[in-house]
Order: sequence, then structure tokens, then C-alpha cells
Amino acid sequence: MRALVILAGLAAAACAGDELAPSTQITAPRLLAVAADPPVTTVDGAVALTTLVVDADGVATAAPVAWRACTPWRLVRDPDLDCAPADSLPLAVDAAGAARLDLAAVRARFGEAGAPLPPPGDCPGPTLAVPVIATVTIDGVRLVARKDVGVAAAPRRSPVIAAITLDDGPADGFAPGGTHRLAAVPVLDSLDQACTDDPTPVPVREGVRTYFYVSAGGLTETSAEVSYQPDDTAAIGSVELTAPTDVDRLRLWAVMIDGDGGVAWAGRELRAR
Amino acid sequence: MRRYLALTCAALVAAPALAWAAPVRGVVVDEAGAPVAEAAVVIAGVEVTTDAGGGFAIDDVGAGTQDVLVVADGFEPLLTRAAPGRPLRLVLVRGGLVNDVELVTLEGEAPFVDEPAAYDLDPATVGTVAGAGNDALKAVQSLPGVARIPFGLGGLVLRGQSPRNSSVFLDGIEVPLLYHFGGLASFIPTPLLDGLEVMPGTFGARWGRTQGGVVEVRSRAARTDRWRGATEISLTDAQARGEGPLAGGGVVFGLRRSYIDGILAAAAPDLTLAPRYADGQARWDRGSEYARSGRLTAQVFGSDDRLTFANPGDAMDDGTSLNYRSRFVRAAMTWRRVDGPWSATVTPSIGADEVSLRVDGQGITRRNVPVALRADLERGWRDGRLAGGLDLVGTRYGYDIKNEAPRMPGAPESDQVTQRDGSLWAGDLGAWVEGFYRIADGRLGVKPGLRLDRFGLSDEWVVDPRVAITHELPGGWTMATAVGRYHQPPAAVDLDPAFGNQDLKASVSTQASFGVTAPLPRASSVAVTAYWEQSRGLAVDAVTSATAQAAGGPQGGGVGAASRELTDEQFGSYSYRENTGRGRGAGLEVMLRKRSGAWAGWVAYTYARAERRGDPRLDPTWRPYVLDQPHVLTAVAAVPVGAWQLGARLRFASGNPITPVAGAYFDVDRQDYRPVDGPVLSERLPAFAQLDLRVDRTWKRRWGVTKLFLDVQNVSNRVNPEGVSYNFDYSRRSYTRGLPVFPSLGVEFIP
Repeated sequence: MRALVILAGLAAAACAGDELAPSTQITAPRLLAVAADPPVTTVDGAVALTTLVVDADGVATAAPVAWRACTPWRLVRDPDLDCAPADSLPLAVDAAGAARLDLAAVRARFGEAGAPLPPPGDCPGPTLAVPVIATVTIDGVRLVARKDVGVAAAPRRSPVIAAITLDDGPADGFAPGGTHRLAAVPVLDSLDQACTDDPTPVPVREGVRTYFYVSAGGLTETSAEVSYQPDDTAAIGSVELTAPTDVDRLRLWAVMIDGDGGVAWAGRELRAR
Repeated sequence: MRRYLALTCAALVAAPALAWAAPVRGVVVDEAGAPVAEAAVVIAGVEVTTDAGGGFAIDDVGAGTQDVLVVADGFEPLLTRAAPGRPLRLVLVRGGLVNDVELVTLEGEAPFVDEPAAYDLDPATVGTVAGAGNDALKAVQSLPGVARIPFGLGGLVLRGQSPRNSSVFLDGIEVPLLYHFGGLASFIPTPLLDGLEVMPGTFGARWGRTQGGVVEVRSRAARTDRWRGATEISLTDAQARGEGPLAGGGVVFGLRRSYIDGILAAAAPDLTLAPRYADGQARWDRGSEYARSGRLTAQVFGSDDRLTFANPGDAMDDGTSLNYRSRFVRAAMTWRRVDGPWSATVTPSIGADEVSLRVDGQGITRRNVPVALRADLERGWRDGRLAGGLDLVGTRYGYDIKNEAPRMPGAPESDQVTQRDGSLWAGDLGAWVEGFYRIADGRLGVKPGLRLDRFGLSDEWVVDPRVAITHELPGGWTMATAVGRYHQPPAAVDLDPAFGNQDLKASVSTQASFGVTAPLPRASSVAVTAYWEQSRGLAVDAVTSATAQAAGGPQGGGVGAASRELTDEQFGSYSYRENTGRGRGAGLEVMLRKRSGAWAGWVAYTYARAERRGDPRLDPTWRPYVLDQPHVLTAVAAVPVGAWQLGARLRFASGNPITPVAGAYFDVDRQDYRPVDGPVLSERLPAFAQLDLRVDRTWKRRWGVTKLFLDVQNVSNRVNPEGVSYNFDYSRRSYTRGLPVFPSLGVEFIP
């Protein structure tokens, strides 16, 4: 029960051990995002999968990624155990490093156990998801990520990042030791209509949440949200960046995620002013 | 004031019966070396009086080291040990409170030990155990068979049983919580106690509805010669007590309140959880149990704990607010009458409990109103006794839950918040009979017992046979064997019509123990007890019992699991449970104890293993209980140094089991790492070790007595790991540190 877990967690946090680096700080190779295009597809559709992998300095790398799709009929808690290579569907990778997920192949591989894909729901949102596992080894570190690809009546789109702003302006430089507000703004037309169970819905764009990662300095929070009113008025959230004083540049990544698993990312290199 | 000292010859002859090789001679002097005339000297039950020169001689006593008691007007009594061979020089200390002393000698036999492996504690002695914070009930955690709780949190784990499986009784009235929140203090101050007995298992038929152990606490009656009061102030709380004659009898009462919450609020910290506790007790007695009208006792006691943020309006970083409250009150009347070989005790009581935990308005509130009646009747004979009784309780159970619905078997997880409330009445009926017979020239005692219970919540009848056999051996040795069966009913919340299982039944434990107690030289004794236990029908979460969640899940181990065991004791688990769990345990307890002389204390060692198994259909593997500690060693000692008393406690315990994280994967849709479990409960935290020190000083003046104590836990500030925490991607592990050095300073004034 949540209350009991929180109470136990407070007891542990009250006497926590060593300080551990926050998740927003890039200090080792990381797999920051997996994008599925489209993030929600139809029962006969296909999806292109790409990854954002960075090294310890926050520089994007093109390390080879191994892909496999898991059965949609079983809970995947441990990818190595519940989606072992022998029980999965390997995905082919093209020359550009993108993998292709074919839903027909998924049905052929996993759909014969008396459990055909159920008909999609009325709401154009995912009622079924195919887990996909991406594995990459970089600098001797094995990174594993899981992405759930939604299946519905109609495909959905991924957001597009219009701009990353620093103190409401272009993100081009930082003041060493200074505090800056960091935000990401999506392209309005890249956002689908939000899915709702309301029988008389008021059309409104789906919101997005952007997760920020930096190679130096610190962030007060991990993410910021952008939400919309029916008239497309946006409330743009931000996080606070405390700029470093020991380096003259930092690499910044913004990973934007919408409500249906659509992902976009953008990176910036900021220099000290 | 005439004051009597009563001696029991049996106590003096408890040491091995050996003979002095030669007459004993000696002299009694005061601190300045002046002889003390007309002092009473008692050795091996033989009493003589010193002459004008303070000299004495005793013939025809046994050989070997013997207890020596010296009493004289105007001096503090002296109890020491002496060996033959040299003349004795016994030095008395002047004490103004002892005058007109008359020495009374009683003859009798030491009581026959008929309870296996029960630890009887004198509150006045154990209340000064280092590390116990002047709390006799906290000293219980230093006994054999008692596992160590992380962070010194409250709750008792007796012989590997969950805290919810053990019960605490005050004068026969069940107490819902032994310790104030977090184990800061017990619910009743030590000066109001007359005694306490810890039965970690294989107890008799008198106690029921418990499958673990029993702690019986006895409050004391008031002194009625005059009114007196006392106050005690420490770093964490303040208490006031009073007692005296009232309405033809005597009343004793106490009030206590902590103030750590006020201190924290005034200091305005960034974020601090502030525990606040309060308790109160009152007891009135009139008459004598030997009079025709018997003795009537009325008592009321209660406790109130609250945990919230230090300053109203404070919240955690994500806006979470937390409120916890636990309070109870009990009111009881006891009538007791002894008429020759017959004795009868009747105790009706009524109470109210409330336990509430709310986080952001979600959580659970549980309210119970128990109405109980205990009635015991006993008839004694020269070589035994027969006793029986009724143990009835009717309870109105009420609960109010607002939380994410627990996952049901076959259903997907849901984060939908649901509101549930329920109330029901249920009655539990217990009837027991127990006999005790001494045979084989009184050296063999057999105590068969039978208990019949009806549990109203689960609508079932259960029968629990129990038997104990004790054998008095030569040299003061005692051998005790006990076997019994113990049922415990399910909790009301677990039977909720919507989220619980209305078919849930009682769990049962079969226990056996074998122990030997032997006296040792220098007023010491040793007790060794082996036990075995097997439980069936444990209520286990039907969905998650075989699901291991390394980082804090139900079987994750560490402080999270320990906290869950403690909260389960108060709230239940709020999950769908079935009687598919099993438990087993075995162990060896050793208690080496020194009772008098220059220093006193004990060494307690326990080797114990406790295991659990969930639903065999999901996972048939036996795993360690989350508070399984194979080795627990505690050494306690206290020694007077002039007007001071120094005390120390050294504890060592095996680390609790944990489930390690074997790896992790990145959930890109949540932008969060998910841990992958290693083998469930396959590793242990590093061992626990801690040294506590205590200093006491007493000043006796004409206008009163002042006692000062300083009790420091973990004097070396050792870092004891209590749990495991990981960084965001589970690639690095660090330990959650236990309590640092923690001083407790207090002063008590008794006018």
C-alpha cells in the first residue's frame, strides 16, 4: 500500500547512505531514449525504432544496437528472463541503424497461442502494447532499455521539438555558477488530440513531458510539462539549471514524451559566456 | 519508622549446598573503621549479633562461598559473598533511612518452576540497563529469543514470529501496542511496574489468540502510608507520578508527554518528521484478596502517538503530506479473592483503539472497540493445583480505507483510488483449563492444559492442547519441556468483503521447547533452551507472495520489510490473502545471569533460524524470514562505583536478509530505471554491533531523592547498515545507516 511504502521509505531516507549522483547527470554511457515511428500503429502496421545513446561526456554515439520484440501476452519484468532471445522475435536493423517492427510478424510469432490480437478500442489510444528490448554495449557497459509500442485503430504521431529555451531565449550559453530556467517547446501541429473517456469531449492537444540531462551542472527537477487549453494556449513548465563553474561547456539533452509513447529528442552544447 | 527486612531462607540456600571447613569469624565496622555493635550477621541461614567490639563468630556452617547479610540500625544493609579461610572484615555505609530494623526470618521452599523458558524481569533492575533509555520494557529487547528491530523501532519479534503474532498483556488486559511509535518508549513508565515476564513461546493455556510469544506486564499497587509524588525529565519527555491513600484504598497515577515535536518546530528545520507521544495510567486498589470482600482494583491506561511534519504546512518535495496517529485506552475493574486453597479473579474491561495513516489524504484508519471479560478460578492442593477460566472479548471492528485497490488474483494492476469502509461486530470466546501436579517426591511437575477458542471473525472453533513438564534435579538444576499448539485468528481488514478474503481462517503454530536451568557460583545462573516451531495457514498475499521486488518490495528485505512487518501489526496488509503460507523455526537460547554482588548483569545469546514459504502453487521455495537473525548476542552489566553506577550493553546481531538487485533496465516511456531482482533474500546486510553506556547517580537528602542518569546509545557512533539504497540506475549500492550516537539524559526527583 502506497502509504506504508512511503512510511518505510521515509524511515530509510531519514538515515540514507552516501550521496549518489542524480539521474539527470550524465557521468557514464547512457541509453536515454528509444523512439518508435509511429509510436502507436495499427494491427497490420510497421514501426521504425531508433535510439539515443550517449557516452560519458554526453556525446551521441552510433553504437550497434540489438533489438528483439517480446510476446504481448506475458508480463515482462525481467527482459533477460521474461523475454529471452530464444523466446523473442529478433528485429532486423537497416544501414542507418534503425530497427523495423512488423506487427504481422509479431502475430505470426506470438499470436498462435489461442490469443489473437484483440480488436482495438474505440478511443484512438493504445489498448495493446508490444514490448521491445534494445541492448547496446558501449565502453564495456551493457545497457538495456524497454519500449512499449502501442497498437490501436489509428496510428499516432510523435512530437517534434520546436525549441529548447534558456531563460525564455535560445539555449546558447550559460553563466558559470548561475541559475537558468530550462524549457522545451513542441511544434504545435505535431501533437495529436488528447485521448479521453469523456462521452462529450472538448478537443484539446495532448500534453508532453520533457526530461533533461546534462553533462555538467545540476538540475532541480528531472522533467517539465507542457499542457494545453482547448484554444491551444500553452502552459510551459521549466526546470532550473545550476550552471557549472569548473567547465566551460556542457552538453544538454532534452527527451520529449507525449501521452502515447511518442518520443523526440534534441541536444545542445552550451558554452560559458 | 519500623521497618522489617524479610529473608527467605530458600534464597540464601540457593547456592550449591556445601559445608564450611572451619568456623567463621570476623568484625563489622563502619566507613571510619569504628566497630559496629549489635549488628545482625547472617551466613547460610545462621544469625548472630556482633559484640561491643563489632566481632562475631559462627560455627557449623557449610563450606564454599556463601551469601553474607549484615544489618544494623543507621546503616545501609550489606549483602556480599565471602569464602572461608580468613577472618571477615565487613564495612557498613551509613544510611539515614534505615532505623529500628527488625530482622525477620522466613522459611519456605523456592517456588516450583512450572513455566518453561520464561524470563522474569525486575523493573527496578532492568530499567537501568544501558541503551534502554530508562525503560524496562525496552530492556526486553536484550533478552534471548528476541530479534533486533532495525533502527530500534518498536515491536517484538519473539522466536522468529512476526510482531503481529505476539501479544502483550497488562494485568491480564491485552495491549494493542507495546511501544510508542518508533520504539522511543514503552506505553507505561518503569516506576509504575511491579514486574514483567517474557514468554517467547510454549506458554500455557491461560493465554490465547496468539501463536507467537506473550509478554505479561504487571503494574504495581499504590503505597498508602502517605502521599508522594515524583517527576522525571529527560531529553525527550517529561513525566509526573503520584500515589497515596484514597477512598479507603490507594491510588497511583502517572502522566507522560514527549516534547521533541515542540523542539523541532521551534528550530524550524527544512523537513523533519516529528513524533509526539503521550501516555497516562491510573490504578486504585482497595481491600485485601484475603478478606471476605476481596480486593477491588480499578485501572485505566492509555496512549496517544502522533507523527506528522514538524511545521504545519510543510510537505515533501513532491507535495506529499503525512499524518499518522495511534491511540488506545483501556478501563478495567479487577476483583480478586483468595479463600484458603481457592482463588478467583474477574476482570471486565472496555477499550477503544484508533490507528490511522494518511498520505495525501489516502491511507487507512482502523477503529476497534473491544469489550472483554477474563475470569479465572483456581484451587490448590499440597502437590498441585487446578485452574480454569474464561477469556471473552467482543469487538466492534471499524475501518476506513482510501487507497489504490489491492491487486486481486487474475486481475490486472490498477491505480484507481477506491474508498472502502466497513464495520462489524465479532465475538471471541476462550475457555481453558490447566492442571499442575507434582509427583516423584515433588521433583517432577506436570502441567497439562487445554484451551478451546471460538473466533468470531472467521467463524471457527479451535482446540489447543498444551503440556509442560519440569523436573527439579539435584544441585538446584531444573529441566523443563513443553509442547503446545497455538491458534491465531485473522485480522478484520483481511476479511473485507470487497478486497479481502472472507474465507480466511486462523493460522496455527505447533511449538516445542526443552530447557535446562542451573545455578552457578557467585550468585549466577545459566539457562539453556532449545525450541522448534512450525506454522501452517499463514495469511499470505495471494498475488505477490512469490513476486520478489528487490528494491523495497514485500520480499525485498532490509528496513523496508521490517517496517512492513511492524505496520502489518497495526493495519493489516490490505491485500487479498489466503491461508497458504507456512513457517518454521528452531533455535537455541542461552541466558547467563549474575544477580548480586559487586556487579550484576547477563549475557544472552540466541542462535535461531526462521523461514517462510508462500503459496506453493506459485513458489514452493522456503526462504529466510525477513527478520531472521542467526546470531544475536547481548551482554549487559552494571557495577556500583562509590555513589555512581556504571552500566554497559554490548550487542551483536547478524544482518537481516535482503534481496539484491542483479541488474536494471531503462523503461523509456517512464524515463526511469527498473530493477531486476537477484535471488530472493539471498544476501545479508553486514552484521550489527553496538555499545551503549549508562551512568547513574543518586543523591539522598532529608527532603527527597534525586536521581540523574545519562544513557548513551551507540557511543562509538558506529555505522550499522539497516537497509540498502541504490543510485538511479542501480549500478551502485549504498547502505542506509542506522541510528548514530544517541544520548538520553534525565533527572528524577522524588520528594
